Amino acid sequence: MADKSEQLLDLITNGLGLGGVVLGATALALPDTLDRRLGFGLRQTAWGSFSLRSVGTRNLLFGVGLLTARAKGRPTASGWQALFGLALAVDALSCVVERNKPGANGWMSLTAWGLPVVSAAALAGSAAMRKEKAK
Amino acid sequence: MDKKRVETVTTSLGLVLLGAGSSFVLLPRLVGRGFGLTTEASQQGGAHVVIRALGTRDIALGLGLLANRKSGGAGRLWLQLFSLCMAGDVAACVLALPRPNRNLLSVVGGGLASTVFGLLAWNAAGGKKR
Repeated sequence: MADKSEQLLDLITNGLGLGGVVLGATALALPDTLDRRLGFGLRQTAWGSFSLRSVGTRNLLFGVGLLTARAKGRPTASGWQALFGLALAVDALSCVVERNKPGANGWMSLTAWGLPVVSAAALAGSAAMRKEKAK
Repeated sequence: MDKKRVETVTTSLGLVLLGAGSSFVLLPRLVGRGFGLTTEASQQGGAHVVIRALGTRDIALGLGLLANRKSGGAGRLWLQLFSLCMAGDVAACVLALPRPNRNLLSVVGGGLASTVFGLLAWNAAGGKKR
């Protein structure tokens, strides 16, 4: 049983880390494609490319930070995971607030429903890591 | 850089990130207009989501820096990755320069601020190693 929960914790941490790296790298390399596909409405403007690339670098940072901290032992990774999880929770809330505004598309509704699950997994994983540390 | 200065730099960077991130989260329309988004684009739901996403990640980064300002190895990782993140922001500013609707002051100002923050964080990370 303990092994299964360990595996689940690893899966959540590695999934979040890799997800952050892949999403970050995509936003960095292809901001216009991401804008078109997800319907952000930034239309190849200077601020649009800058903001998407900046969000990308931060996702990449959290992904790399989480994976690096994880490689050094679980307790160090819990802080990274909790903060990334909280950021995703606010993203979900933001999608809920904006989903009826002009320019919003199906992706935003999907994100509004999907992100809370990822965020809850991240926060629960982080809490389990801290509990493990306290033992 | 001595230990006390490293802690001061880390705390200052954390507080700046918290301030910037909070304004992005609370005032996405104003921030969008300030950075050169057109009135129509700055009212789009998607633009607000991106601006808020940037803000929440800055807040998370700020909290991470503040929480680890006194720790050695963990704090160094936050500072090193933050300085790489600032390098990414500088590159994003340079790549944004030839695009339409740019606000030259905010692009150049953002690039300069990111350079200064990145160098400060890199030096502080080096100070933590000693």
